[in-house]
Amino acid sequence: MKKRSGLRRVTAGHLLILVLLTLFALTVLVPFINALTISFITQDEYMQNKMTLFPKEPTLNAYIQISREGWLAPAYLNTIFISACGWLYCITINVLTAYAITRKFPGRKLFYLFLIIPMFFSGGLIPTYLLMVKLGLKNTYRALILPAGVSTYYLMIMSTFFRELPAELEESARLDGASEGRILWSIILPLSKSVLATISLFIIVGFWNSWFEALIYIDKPIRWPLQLHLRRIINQAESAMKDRENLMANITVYSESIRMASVLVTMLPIMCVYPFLQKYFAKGVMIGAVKG
Amino acid sequence: MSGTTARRPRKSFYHRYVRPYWPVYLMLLPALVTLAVFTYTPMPGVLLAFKKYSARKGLFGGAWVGLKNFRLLFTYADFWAALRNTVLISVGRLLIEFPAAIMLALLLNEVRSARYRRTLQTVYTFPHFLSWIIVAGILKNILRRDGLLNALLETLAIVGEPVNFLSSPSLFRPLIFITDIWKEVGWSSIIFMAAIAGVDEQLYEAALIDGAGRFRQTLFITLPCIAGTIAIMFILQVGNLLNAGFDQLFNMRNAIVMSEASILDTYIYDMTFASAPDYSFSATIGLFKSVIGFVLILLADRFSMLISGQGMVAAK
Repeated sequence: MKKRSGLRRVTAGHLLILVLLTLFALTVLVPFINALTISFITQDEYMQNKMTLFPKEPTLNAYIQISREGWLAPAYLNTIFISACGWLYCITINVLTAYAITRKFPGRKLFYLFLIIPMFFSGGLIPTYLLMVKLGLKNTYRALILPAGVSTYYLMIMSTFFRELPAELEESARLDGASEGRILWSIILPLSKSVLATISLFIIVGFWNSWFEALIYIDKPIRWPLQLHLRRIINQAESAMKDRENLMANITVYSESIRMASVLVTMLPIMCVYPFLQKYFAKGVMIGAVKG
Repeated sequence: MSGTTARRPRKSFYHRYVRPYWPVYLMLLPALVTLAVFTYTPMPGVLLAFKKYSARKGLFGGAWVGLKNFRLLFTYADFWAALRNTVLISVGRLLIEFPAAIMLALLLNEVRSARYRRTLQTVYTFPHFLSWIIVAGILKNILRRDGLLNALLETLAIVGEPVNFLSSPSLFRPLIFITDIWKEVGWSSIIFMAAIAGVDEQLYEAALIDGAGRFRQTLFITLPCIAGTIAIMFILQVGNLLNAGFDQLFNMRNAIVMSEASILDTYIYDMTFASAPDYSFSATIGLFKSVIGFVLILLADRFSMLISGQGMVAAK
């Protein structure tokens, strides 16, 4: 980007800004690097020196130990299952709805209203929870997935995108006798890959990170997603310290290495795809921003 | 599509509305059902707030008690503390975190190398995509009494002895603001970056000829040009005032800072999933929050209309 021609020399203020911004980037990065290091060192080495950035004698002990505890594999599978089903469900509903609201049909205003009212008013935590119990969805993954189906934000991004596609393609298809479903599947969707990728990422990351619904609806730890196990491990230190009896009663106290290893395995997939898909992540807010 | 309808002189309801549009309605059906079941069905549940809850008589079996639950609620010190914390934290976010995002966008705009700017942005935005459970795990490790930050501060001789960042009531609120900035400022600044990128280049050139330096250009051109975006984002946040950030507080709190960390949402959670829950009482707090929140959103929408000529439903 060529900006503000002239004044090309580097000033002191400029340098200061660069230094500040770089320092902030380090502030963001160092905790992650620190967590990574701690997960690879022994408790002894951790106690000796808090500022190690490179482990002297790296060990996989923490990772081996959490994989032996038996929750890791099921939790991973649970989270992957929830994210995959949730993605399929959400993307289907949102694509269909986003396409439908770009059509002109009687009752459109009414449907908009139906979409918008939940933005202003909701039943709240208790009625929703009680409804789930009544529907027999407690302790099922449907309780985590089904209510998340419609997102006004995704709908807005997608229908804005669909509207900006050239109308001629669609008109000629219609003249050739293509049905609405056919137009959406064979004409609109192939042209919308980038917005589909963006929304898909948001949906998958959203499900990967979600924990509150699982906390209130899923009772059995074996059915928990990763995030809840991580929460249990992180918070365990505090509750153990709160009553010493727990500590005496032979409950495993997790070392910092185990805690950081658990954090890292939970965020691993996001960490791996983020640098490559960052442009898609940023696109979502941009599409929203251009409109606003 | 209308081949069959053309033969009839007077179109029936079916031929006029259903026949030509049924594929569209079919596409809307899943969303309609999802919203109807999971969003609309719980709505009448707010009526619980006007009933006396009895575990024996079932959920809606209790007697109508009018505003008694509310009167009771307003006598609870816990409730007022939660409301006070909610407002304090939200206002703090508006005054501290919101300007931080604008500041970051302005500073990033001064980075000349587009590549370095993108790299920085990639780093800043990353924590946004992690849950508060993950972020709390990582930050709690850094902020421990014997953690990295204390070790660093001691080495630099800034503090004499380790600071209890996580369990000092007086440090809790600043901690909440700083950790949220750490996680979200990169993401929040993107929208301001987009606005800055849209500022007319010629304005800067004209200013340069008039002898305005970078600082003055920022102050008198960039800021006024993105004022509209700033105003809209600010208003949106005001509409959200009663949501002080459940995920963050729920995961950063501990027994020692409980009184500082209690906000309306955590209070509702604690009341609902306590050992002997009073669902009517939880619903009362929920309804209180909904009503005030609704008024705030309406006000925000009106202001958004005034400023941009667009309601925020359209702007969001």
